[in-house]
Amino acid sequence: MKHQSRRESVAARIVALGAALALAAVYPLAASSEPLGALRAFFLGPFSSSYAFFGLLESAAPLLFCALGAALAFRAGIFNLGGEGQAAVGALAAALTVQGLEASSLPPPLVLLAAIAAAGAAGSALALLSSAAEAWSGAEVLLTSFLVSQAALIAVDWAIGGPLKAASSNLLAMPLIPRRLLLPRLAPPSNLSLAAPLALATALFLYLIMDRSRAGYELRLFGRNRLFARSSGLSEGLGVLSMASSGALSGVGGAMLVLGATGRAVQGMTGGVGWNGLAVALIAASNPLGAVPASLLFAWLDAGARQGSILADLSPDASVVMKAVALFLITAKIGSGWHPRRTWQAGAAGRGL
Amino acid sequence: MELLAVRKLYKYFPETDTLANGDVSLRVEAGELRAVVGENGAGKSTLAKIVAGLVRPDSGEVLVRGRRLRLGSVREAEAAGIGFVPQYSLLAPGLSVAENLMLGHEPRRAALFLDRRRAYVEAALLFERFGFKLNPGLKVASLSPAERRQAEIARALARGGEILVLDEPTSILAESESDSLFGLLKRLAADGKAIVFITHRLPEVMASSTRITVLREGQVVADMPTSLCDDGELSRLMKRRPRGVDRGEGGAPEEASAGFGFREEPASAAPQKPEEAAPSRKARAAASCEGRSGTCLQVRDIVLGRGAEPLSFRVESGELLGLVALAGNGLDPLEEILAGLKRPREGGVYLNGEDIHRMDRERLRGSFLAYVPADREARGLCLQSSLRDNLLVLRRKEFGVRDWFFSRRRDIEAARMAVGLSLEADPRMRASSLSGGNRQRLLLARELSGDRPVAVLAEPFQGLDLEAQAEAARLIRDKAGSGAAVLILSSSLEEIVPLADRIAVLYRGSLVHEGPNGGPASTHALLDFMTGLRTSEGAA
Repeated sequence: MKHQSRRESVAARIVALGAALALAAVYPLAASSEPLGALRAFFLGPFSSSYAFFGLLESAAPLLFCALGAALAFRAGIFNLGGEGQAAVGALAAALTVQGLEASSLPPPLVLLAAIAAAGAAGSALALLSSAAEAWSGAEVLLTSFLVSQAALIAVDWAIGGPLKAASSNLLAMPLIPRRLLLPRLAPPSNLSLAAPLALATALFLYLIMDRSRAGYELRLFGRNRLFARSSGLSEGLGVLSMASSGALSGVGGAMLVLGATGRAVQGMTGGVGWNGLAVALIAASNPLGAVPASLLFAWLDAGARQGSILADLSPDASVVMKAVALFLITAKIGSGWHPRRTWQAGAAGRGL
Repeated sequence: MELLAVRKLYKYFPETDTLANGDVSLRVEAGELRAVVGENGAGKSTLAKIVAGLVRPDSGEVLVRGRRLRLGSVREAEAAGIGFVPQYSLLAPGLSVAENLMLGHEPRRAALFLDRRRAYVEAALLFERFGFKLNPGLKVASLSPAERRQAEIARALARGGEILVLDEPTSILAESESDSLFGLLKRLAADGKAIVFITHRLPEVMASSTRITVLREGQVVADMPTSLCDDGELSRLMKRRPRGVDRGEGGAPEEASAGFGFREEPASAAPQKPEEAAPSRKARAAASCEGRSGTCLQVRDIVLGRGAEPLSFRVESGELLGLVALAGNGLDPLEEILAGLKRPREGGVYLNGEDIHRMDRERLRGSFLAYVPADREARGLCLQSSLRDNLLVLRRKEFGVRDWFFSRRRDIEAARMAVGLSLEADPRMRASSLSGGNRQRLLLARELSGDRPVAVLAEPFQGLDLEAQAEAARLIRDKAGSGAAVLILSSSLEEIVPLADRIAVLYRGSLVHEGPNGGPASTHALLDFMTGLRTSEGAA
């Protein structure tokens, strides 16, 4: 029964996806003076060369990390809206760690590992601010995670454009990280780095944890009915733990931006990766494996818009419109995959003497 | 002058298979203070909600001043002058009393700006006229429960209410607060309003009402002036006949025992002091508790709300204690404390001397405490998850990595548990697809399986049909028989009497009676304790 409904929901998503793409195609047709060329550039451009295709895969990696972070929090019934800021502090932490260890004699893999760990810790710390605020005063994670994240974004941009800015560069960016301390490139000259397989492996790992383990079982019950979880003796630390992991995943997503394609921390580098991650998690109904195709879809639309703007007269912002259409159609189609904190009302009912 | 008339109301709830109102008729005059009394589930609240337009009856009519109302319309009921004061406050806590009074009917300046001053003046005038002791400028959040109740009544009046319907207005009030509330209601009645209030508490009915309607199992069994009845008769009228038997109170036991199996202890008419009766099993139980072979549950000095006396009792290993009280008398908060969900402000709950509120909750629920919550849907089950996931929640530590990866062993174990309570359903189905009765069976199956030595069961029979009740009673008795200390919290005497070794009664948060189960003959006395007619041992 459960499997049947899952199959149905996957089918529904695919139908919705087709509809979304068909609808999305209207935009280049309307916005371009040579619609057919624009269409071809948009949809097929990313597959026109291995260089373009590998670039698409690389840009999906940070997105997938952020999506996994959002999905994990959703599963626990928590709306973590701070993915963007968590990715930004993660990126900054990774850049700073590499900069700090650059002169040391540590082997490059260890430096990378340290940078990724620092990014995770930074994202996690930012997310935990919201959990702490909730525990302390009952503040809504939905609000605090967003607010804290926006503040963090401003702080990170200020740091990169100010005290940490590379003196030699005209860009608002930190110094370039030496090639040997970046994630290894898998298919030069394309941008594809180890980030993509790392993201894929993380998705697989999270699937095993979230869908095939006791921890995942507990997390699901916790997310669906907190009162039930509490009276059945499930640990109340589950919420904090998942919020910390969610922030860490987004932070690592930010690190992939720095250590992968870009090779340095640039002002505004997150460019909506956290928000897109949230959308991807919604499309995938918080399923870690579903997040893989969903993030590829978003990366494809982004790459298509880039190609369309180079090869035809499309705006690079075309992808925003099309992503919005896809998100709208796919989530509206199912709409019931998760219900964060549905138990609020049940818990709020006034009882007592 | 007849203000309100209700004719031949029928309301059936298919989800719970109950006929909440079966042919209920009622006439209320201006200046009347009408009490509607009855046990839990007698259909009182349903009647009030139908009059208020919140529930649409299957048939029947509601008339105000002889004019028929469209049923199931709150707007129409309000327009006709019916003001409903619900059991739980619906005021906006962040607004002032005056603002709440005007909510939806705000006086405006230039049709746009809220005229705050006029709102206060109007509220103050209203309070002056009816003698409310309430400051219209205070935020609702800062009011006491009694003041909130007043504000609710004021709101109904501010909307032109001529007929006030109050659903258990005193359930959350202390005694002195109830007195002043009834003072206010009497003034309103004297002013020509018609007032209908619902309650379980017989003393306040006798002291304040002018006429009484008694509901039992959805039907009006009596309708008479208060001056013509006494409280003993009233509590007899309220009491439901034993289920499945319909030939008076004396003849019940033989029939009922087929379903429930009365205990072999001799039935005695009056509740006895605990020392006087010593059933052999209880003696064994006490001994085993001292000798560490069983676990006993001990409650020490818990205070349930203002004005309540500290509460202490114990349940020995192998013993079944039934704790009864009508709604609003402290069962809900006590349940939360006993389940380890809420720390008591004073006192504590101990298992063999260990404070449960200091225990890891996972260990408490996994190894020691079986708990069936009264709020089944919110606390007892995760409705969006499968039966399997619900059944195995306390046994989750038993499964290894492989069992979590593949579901086969979990499916088998869950199916086994379901069969144990003859729950014929695919364990992979969502719990939300089960009927109320089957949800309860699922809950009981999960909690009573395993060897947790203490059980706290709140309303364990809710939603069960007769056969399932008998089955559940057997399971509960087996649980005690295997040496567990079992505490049943219930608002229904006829569920407790056939089952418990001892019975205790809570009234307004205080323990007003505790003693061995005196059998069906003692139910009158117990009902007197539950309704506050008797407040301590021996005092009639």
